[in-house]
Amino acid sequence: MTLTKSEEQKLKAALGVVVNEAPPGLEYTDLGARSSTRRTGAQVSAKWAAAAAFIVVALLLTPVAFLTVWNNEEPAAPLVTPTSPPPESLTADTAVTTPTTVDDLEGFDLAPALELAGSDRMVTLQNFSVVVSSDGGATWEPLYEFQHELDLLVATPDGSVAALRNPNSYSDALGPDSIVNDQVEFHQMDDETGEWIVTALPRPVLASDLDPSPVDGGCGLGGLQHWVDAIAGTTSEIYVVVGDMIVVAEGVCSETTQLLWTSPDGTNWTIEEIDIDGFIFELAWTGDRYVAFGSNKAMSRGGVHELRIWTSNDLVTWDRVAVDLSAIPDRARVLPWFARGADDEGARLLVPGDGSIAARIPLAGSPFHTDIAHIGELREVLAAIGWEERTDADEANTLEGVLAMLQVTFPLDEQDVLRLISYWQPFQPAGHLILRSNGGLVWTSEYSE
Amino acid sequence: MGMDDSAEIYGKYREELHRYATTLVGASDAEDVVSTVVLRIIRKRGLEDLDDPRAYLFKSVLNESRGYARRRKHTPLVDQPISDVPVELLDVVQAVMDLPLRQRAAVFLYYWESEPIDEIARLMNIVPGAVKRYLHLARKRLKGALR
Repeated sequence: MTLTKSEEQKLKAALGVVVNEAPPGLEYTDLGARSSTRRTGAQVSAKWAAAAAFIVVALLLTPVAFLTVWNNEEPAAPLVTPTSPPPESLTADTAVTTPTTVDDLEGFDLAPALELAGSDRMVTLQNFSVVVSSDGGATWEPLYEFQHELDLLVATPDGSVAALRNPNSYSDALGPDSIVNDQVEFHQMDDETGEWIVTALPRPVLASDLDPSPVDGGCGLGGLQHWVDAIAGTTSEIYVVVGDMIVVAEGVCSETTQLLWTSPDGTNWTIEEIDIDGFIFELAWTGDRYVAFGSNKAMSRGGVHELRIWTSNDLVTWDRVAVDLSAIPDRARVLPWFARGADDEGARLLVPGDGSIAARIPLAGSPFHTDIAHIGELREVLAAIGWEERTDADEANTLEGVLAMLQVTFPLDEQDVLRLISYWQPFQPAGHLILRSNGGLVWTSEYSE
Repeated sequence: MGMDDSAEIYGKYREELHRYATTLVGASDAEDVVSTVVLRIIRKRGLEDLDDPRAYLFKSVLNESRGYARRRKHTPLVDQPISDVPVELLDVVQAVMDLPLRQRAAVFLYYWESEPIDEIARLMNIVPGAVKRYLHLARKRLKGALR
């Protein structure tokens, strides 16, 4: 079981809440006294306010335009070839299922396994390992084990398998002058020897006039971090990786930029910026073209996302494809975690290899809607989801203060509802949207509970 | 060698030990846990006499925390009024603090301290496979709150 990027960020934010409480600790010379000195309430509140401020900033990053120039900083170099430990038996919960055609998507209940073309085997990620099954998912054996969690897995149409690891830690980017820019690792199995070769993808390089360290763009977020979101394999040699980067520089609070890594041989990689009207979260090769699933905003943004689909033949021009979303019921919405295809929470892309492609996208409902007529009714809704209004605090922390900050007024319109959702994020699962296409250009949609 | 060396080693690891202890037993007991562990060691010998003081200190803090965790089983580990926690993190913070002690230790070391599995195994005095298992179980338990 893996965590999506948004889940991992949420977990780290929660851990930040906990460790932010850590006392500084006694001086060595005071240890014997075992002083019972405790922080005052005022000190504690200040630290909590700082933590809360950071979290709000992290969730509601404000786009600021800036220019970057991308260069190939350094050639990709083969790294170590890790040795695989002896296979160990896996637990029952490793079992996964995978449909074989786009019509089987209803049965796509667990983490998707990828079929290896030309064989009856399929692979998936499990517990820091790539595991393989030859009996339809009933039993699994390790194909490759690594010391760290692998983030993305891809199987090419000609039966090769590769994985990506993003070594950059979100928590390392919390400081105002942090640089989290380690090279992403591409782990590829050698089809002949069965060994796994690790290659470092080039890291993005900023324009010389943009210095992310040491600066504080004013939002308390780190100077630079980059990561990967999606991978597609056209053949056993041609791979495409999509990722994101956030930069904080002098006078620039934050911006998310889409990155595209491509390799003509699985070993040498180039990196460039993507010119596209949105953010790609999932990528697939149908046999004729690339199909990308994504959103109008970066994955790190909370709240409601607008689903978008693009196709491309050359990875340079991305054409947006119309998608009929009318099948989504009232009050159900697409959320940021629809984006992850490699776990059991996000969208599951299915590309059986016959040119067809399908996706099952989880939807969520919210108690906020335009029928909430006045602030008293909203207060009841918030009480029902456990929000306690701080009537003893300053005006900014009252419900009226929060609504003023969000620029929400009654009667509520759809934009007001989206602002409420983005702030409180009270979601419940609300079924799935199932999209199907033959080739990726024309899509049909239906709702599934 | 002597008090100055022990003080230097303690100073080097003081902050991370307190973060670790806070995650395990809560902020109000963290100082006691760390103080107890360090005092116990330096009363027998100096910290500088340890082959790997960091690993020894982390292992000792985890062991010491087990007693505190049992005593505080029904007491909130997060000391702040719950309304102070950002609302979107309430469930996650609670879920993290509800994890069994070793799962919580593994989650902290992996996701907050970004330690590799082998290093976590060393700090927890268990085999790497057990670390992976703890992380797997923790993620399973946390999934609901993280949605």
